[in-house]
Formats: sequence, structure tokens, C-alpha cells
Amino acid sequence: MHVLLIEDDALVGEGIQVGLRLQGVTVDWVRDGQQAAAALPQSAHDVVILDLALPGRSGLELLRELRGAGRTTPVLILTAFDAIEDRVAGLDAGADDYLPKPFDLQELGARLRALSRRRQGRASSLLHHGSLQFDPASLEARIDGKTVSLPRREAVLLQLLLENRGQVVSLERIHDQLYGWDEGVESNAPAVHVHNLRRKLGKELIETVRGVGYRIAREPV
Amino acid sequence: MSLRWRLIGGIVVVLSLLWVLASVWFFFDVRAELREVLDARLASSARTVQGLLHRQELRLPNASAIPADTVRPELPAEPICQLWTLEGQLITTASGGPLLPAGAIPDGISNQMVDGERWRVFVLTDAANGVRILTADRRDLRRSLILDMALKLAAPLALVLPAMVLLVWVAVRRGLVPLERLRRSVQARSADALEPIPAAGVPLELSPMVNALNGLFGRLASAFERERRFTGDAAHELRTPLAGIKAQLQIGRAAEGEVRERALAQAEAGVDRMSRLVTQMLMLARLEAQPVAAEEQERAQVDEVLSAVVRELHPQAERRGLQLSRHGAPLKTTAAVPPLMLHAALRNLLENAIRHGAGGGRVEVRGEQLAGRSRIDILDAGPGLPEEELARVSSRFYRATTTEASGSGLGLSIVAAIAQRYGLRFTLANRSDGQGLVASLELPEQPQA
Repeated sequence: MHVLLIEDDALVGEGIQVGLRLQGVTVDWVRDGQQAAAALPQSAHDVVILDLALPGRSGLELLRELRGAGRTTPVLILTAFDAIEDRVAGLDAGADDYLPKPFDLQELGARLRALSRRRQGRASSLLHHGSLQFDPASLEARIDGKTVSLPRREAVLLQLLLENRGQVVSLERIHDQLYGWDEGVESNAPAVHVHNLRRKLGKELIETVRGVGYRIAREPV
Repeated sequence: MSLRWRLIGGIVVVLSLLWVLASVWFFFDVRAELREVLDARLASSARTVQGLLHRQELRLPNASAIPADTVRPELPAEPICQLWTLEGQLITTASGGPLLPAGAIPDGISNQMVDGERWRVFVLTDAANGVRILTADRRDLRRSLILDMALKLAAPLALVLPAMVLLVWVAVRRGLVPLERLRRSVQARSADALEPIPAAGVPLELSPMVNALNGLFGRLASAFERERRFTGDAAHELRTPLAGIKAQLQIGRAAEGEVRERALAQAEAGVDRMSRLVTQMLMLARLEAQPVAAEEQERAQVDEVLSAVVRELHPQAERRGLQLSRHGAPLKTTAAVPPLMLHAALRNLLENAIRHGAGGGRVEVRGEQLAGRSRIDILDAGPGLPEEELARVSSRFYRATTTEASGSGLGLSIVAAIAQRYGLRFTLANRSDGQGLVASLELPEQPQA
């Protein structure tokens, strides 16, 4: 999962970035309202985590602008203002979920997954493909019931491909999802991950679309 | 004592007093009148007799001694009439009664005591007929008449008094109804109902009190509002580092090695930050809660405090690569501020400057002695602040757009609160000689009103 975090506090922001990474979520972190206003229009993130008390721009204002522009990206508000009026205002302004600070990292991860699931129209949190079963919460893959051990980056890539079954996932998007904006990485790293996935889960699972990206092969009848 | 009973008591006492005074005056007046009337009656009886004698309708018996048994000893209730010779011999007595020695009694009206009995006596000398006509009535009868009258005057008061108390009580109670209404409406308010009492329909005398109450409600309402806002802001400011600490600790538990170490270190830094914040919040709360009288006597040695603050913050400045320097002659004065408060204000200002100063820049502390006051300027070489933010920057928890979040947001509020409390002048402005802010604190030697 690829998430945009808008939060001004260094301690909390770093906590979220590192903490979510352990759960296989890649976090891009902007620290103030101006940067957020610049980043939001082009964001291809799965979920936006928004803190309301931002220097420069009000979080609610940003949210309204986002919704006003017709963007339906799920937004989770994470803030210390937890009075009922604040919650109602946030949800009515277009937020999809509201989590007060201090929060539990596990709960944050679960809510993000729920929002992502809803966005993709999936009923179950598990991803299925033939005999392959993937659990985004635990980043575990199973073939015919047997667990296959995957390092985090590979698991995240697999999740991305499975969530976008039927479509090609571009290399750029893979890069963003796996590494976020901050990390520079060698351009063939995704290929290495794909190679390892094919080795562990079957060659037919992932198709290469040359010059564009990868996709999950059609399900065997 | 209850207002109502004070009023009733006062009215009843005054009315009773007036009644008594009026009665007494009336009594003496009537007694005089009565006396005149009765005396006139005596006189006119005597003259009637004289008239009858003149017209010879009355014939005098010989002036011989009247046998004693014709004189009735019992006291008559009627006035008596006696005829005496000029020589003092009784001729006749019309209605009995004791003999008054006419010889010893002068003409006209007089008081006489005979046989232990008091008489009011009128004597008329008719030289032509050679008689002295004497009329008299008993004074004790007069007295009982007058007493009777006095009683008739006093009795109503005794009867009317309870009725008066009752009526006055009713009247006062009705008169005080607006006050009672006001009392009930104020009493019925809950603890947070601080809307003003409507001024319509309030009697003239209660208006000042209603205005005073409304003023109090207004002040209470703004104090509560301030507290609510502070609590709301404080909750946010405390929860944010808590969230950070919790997240870092959760990472620490889930991770290993370098990631874990860093997470734990971050959690600790978060705790430090929070405890600084809590200290600041408590100081601010103390500043605002304390009655002004408390430490009015304390004075601070300005130079001592300033030097101490500069010394304390040297390490911090060094760590950030800033040059901290002190300029200007030592300040010789004292100021009407407790040393701890001055220390807190200067420390917050200097920390602020250090935090803003761009790495490698300078922070200057300048002291100047002016007439009747000393002035301290703290200049940094940081980015400064846009004009519209300068005014808001000392409101609580405000963080300027150019600040990182490590400050508590309360530092300048504390300085502002100290300045207001002790009459110091605190200003914050962009430097005119370059980039950065200059924070100034003016300390009068004498406490300002």
C-alpha cells in the first residue's frame, strides 16, 4: 500500500513512516500545508493520512479542496482534536475515517487496509488468485494452504499486482509503491523482485508487459 | 437580619412611635380642653345661681348654722354648689358633700384639698346679695375621666398593632416581589448559564445590581472561554507528543537493531519535550491564577538575571552552531519583578532566538540603561516573521509557519503573560538592520499602575 502522510510533527511523522513500513506500507511524508497542497492534486496514493493542525493551511481546507476537485482518494484524519464536533466536521468535509491521537500503529494499519479494500471494492481482506492466497495484514502468502515466506518488498509488490489484477501496473507506480518518493533506487530492482516471486510462486503468475510494467496473469480455468 | 423584617420592623416602630407621640400630644391637648370646659361649667353654674338670686327667684334661708346632719358626708358624683356668707358662714349646700371653707378660698378658680379629698373650686363673691357662691367638682373624678379618655386613645393602638404588622408585612412582601423574582431566576441558573439577566422590567433600585451581576457573568464567561480554549489547545499539544512517543515505542517493540535503537531514542526525546511543555503550561497557569498581591515586594537585579540566562544558554547556542554574545554596559538597576519571573521571561526569549537563528548566525543580547528603566534587546539572524504573524505569535500554542515543531508554542505566551502581569513592555519586531527578529523587554524601576 502506498500512503501520503500530511503531518507537521517530526516525532509522530517519523513514527508513522517507520511503523507503517514495518507493516508493508510505503509512506510519503509532507510536513506542511503548502507542500501538501502541491502534492495532493497529482497523488496516486491509496490513502491520504491527514493531520488537521498544520502550519500554513488548515487540514480541513485541504480536504475540502481535494473533494471539490472531484478526487475520491480515501482520507483518514489523524489528529489530537477528538471532540465530537471536530469528528463530525472532519467526516462531513469529506474524510473517510477519523483516528484520534495518540493511536495504536496496528489500528492505523488496519484502518488503512480497510479503506483500501473498500476503495478496490473487495469484500474480503484476503487476496485470492487460483491457489494463491495473500493476506495484506500479515503480508503472508500461501499456496494450497502452505505458507511461502516472502521478504517485505516482494510481499508488497505481490499485493500491488494482486490488487490490480486485470490491469498492467506501470514501473513508475511499482517504484512509488515500493520505495516512496524519498528513496532513490536502481531501476532494475523491481525486476529482481519479480524474478524471485516467479521462482517462489510459479512462472505463470506474473506477466511482463515490455516497456510498461507487469501484471498478474489471467486466472487458470 | 432579613431585609423584609428590617423593613417591617422599621415601619412598625416608626408608625407606633408617631402614633404614641400623636396620642400624647392629643391627650394633653384634650386634657386642657376638658379642664377648660369643666371649669367653665363650674363658673357658669355659679353665675346662674347669682342670676337667680338677683331676680329674687331664690330666697336665702337665714344664715344660721346648718345642722350637721343635713350635710351628707358621702362624696357626690355631681359638682356641688354651696352658698356662704361674706363672713364665712354656710347658708346652704345644694347637693351635699363636705363643706369647703369658703372663707379661706379666694375668688375664681383654684385647687383645694379638704379632708384628704381634692377639689376644683370656683368662688364668686356677690357683694350685693352678701353671699359667696362656691361651685366645685372632685378632681379624682376629673382624673378618672381623663384616664378613661387616654385609654380610649391607647386601646386602638394595641388592637391595631398586630393588624398593622400584618398589613405592613403584606405590603413589604408585595413590594419586594421583584427582588424575589430576581433571586429565583439567578438561583435557578445552572453553573454554566452565564447569559446576561434581561434588563427589561427591572425596578430602578435593582438596576445597578443587575448591571453588576451581568458584568460579573460576562467576565466569568470570558474566563471560562479562555480556559476552554486553553484546555482544547493544551489537549492537542499534549496528545501530539504522546502519539509520537507511543508510535515510536510500538516500533521499538516490533523492530530490531538500528531501527529499534532509534525508535527508543526518539521516544525518550518525546518524553523530554512533553515534560518541558508541561512545565511551561504549569507556569502559565500559575501566572494567570495567582492574585496580584502575592509577590509584589520582590525585586530583581536585572544584570544578575540576564547574565545567568546568557550563561545557561551558551551550550545550547553552541550546539546549534550559533554565536551568542552580550553587548552594552552592565545594567545597574533593579526592577519590580520577582527574579524567577524575569529569569523565565528572558530565558524563553533567548531560547526562541536560538531556535530560530539559522546555523552559523549570531544571537546578540544587548542591555541599555534608560531613564527610569532598563531595556534588553535580543536579536537573532533567523528568517524573521511576516508582519501579520507578529501580532499573533504570542498567543498560546501558536507556532509560526517558519518554526519547526520542537518548540512548545508557549514560550512567547509566557513572556507576554509575565510582561502584562508586572507592567513590563514586551515587543517583537523584524530587525531594521538585516534579517531576523528583535525581541525587546523594558523593565521600569518602579512598578507601573
